[in-house]
Amino acid sequence: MAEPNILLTRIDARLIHGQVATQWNSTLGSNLILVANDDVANNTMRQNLMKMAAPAGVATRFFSLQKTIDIIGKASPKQKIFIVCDCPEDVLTLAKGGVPIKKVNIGNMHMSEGKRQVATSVAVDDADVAAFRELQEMGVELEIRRVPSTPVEDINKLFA
Amino acid sequence: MIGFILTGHGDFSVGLKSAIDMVAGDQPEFEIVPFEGSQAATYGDTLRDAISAMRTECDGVLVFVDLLGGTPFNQAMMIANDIENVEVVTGTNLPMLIELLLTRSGAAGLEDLAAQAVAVGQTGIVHKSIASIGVAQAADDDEDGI
Repeated sequence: MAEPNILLTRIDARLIHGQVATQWNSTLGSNLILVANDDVANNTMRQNLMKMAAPAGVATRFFSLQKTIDIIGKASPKQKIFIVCDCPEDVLTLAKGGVPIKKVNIGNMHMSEGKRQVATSVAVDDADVAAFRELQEMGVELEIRRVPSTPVEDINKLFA
Repeated sequence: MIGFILTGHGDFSVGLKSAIDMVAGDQPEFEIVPFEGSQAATYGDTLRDAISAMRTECDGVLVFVDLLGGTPFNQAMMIANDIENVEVVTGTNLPMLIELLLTRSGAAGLEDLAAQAVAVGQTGIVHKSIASIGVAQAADDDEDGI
């Protein structure tokens, strides 16, 4: 079976919201936003809110990490997929599980207890950094960028 | 490229611009002109200068105002009457601006963009209930693919 057509994978603590729905999706030209998140996969309320946010004509899927790994190979070539995760650890799980992720856009990772702010909208802890490093070692391209019109920030900020 | 000017009472344009920065990032050829009561006497000239300046750099200017019949609207209409290729849209909202900022770089002319702004702005105003969403999306699943 042909490789799934994954246009981009984004890390965003808010998953599908204004920036993702109005900016990223149209810039990418995806027709399927796949939210890979164990909590959302079991939370109809959060799913419904994200379905509302998604642009017209763009399908949404809310899969657990394991389901994403199991099913991604069955994607149709017509499905132009935009994967959204809320943390780098989940992206690493997908990549290790065989989801062919080539490029990761790092959007919003919120500041919280135990994290340090390393870029405009990105805060990390040691576990996040370790996951990013592992992704990089797997050959995954990492990019810090909040929205398509803002400049890319230096990726080394993550590892400083 | 069509330039955009956003104006309205008080901090309307300031606040809307701050929201746009957050959602869509900084935008070229997009200026705001707040209408502060304390500067009411000079507001018309300030707006005219902003529109004229943008008009020299752009093929046309679309002026987004907040309220039909308000001073920003009235002033913008008079300026649009004096300068070629300046159009005014009122009732401006965030969905309207986000979409138009994203699509204006295409081939659409000034008149088309103004019409699109009205359509998008109106579409953005809806009453949603959680209950209706699951049903509406049920037919979404494609047999082919995931």
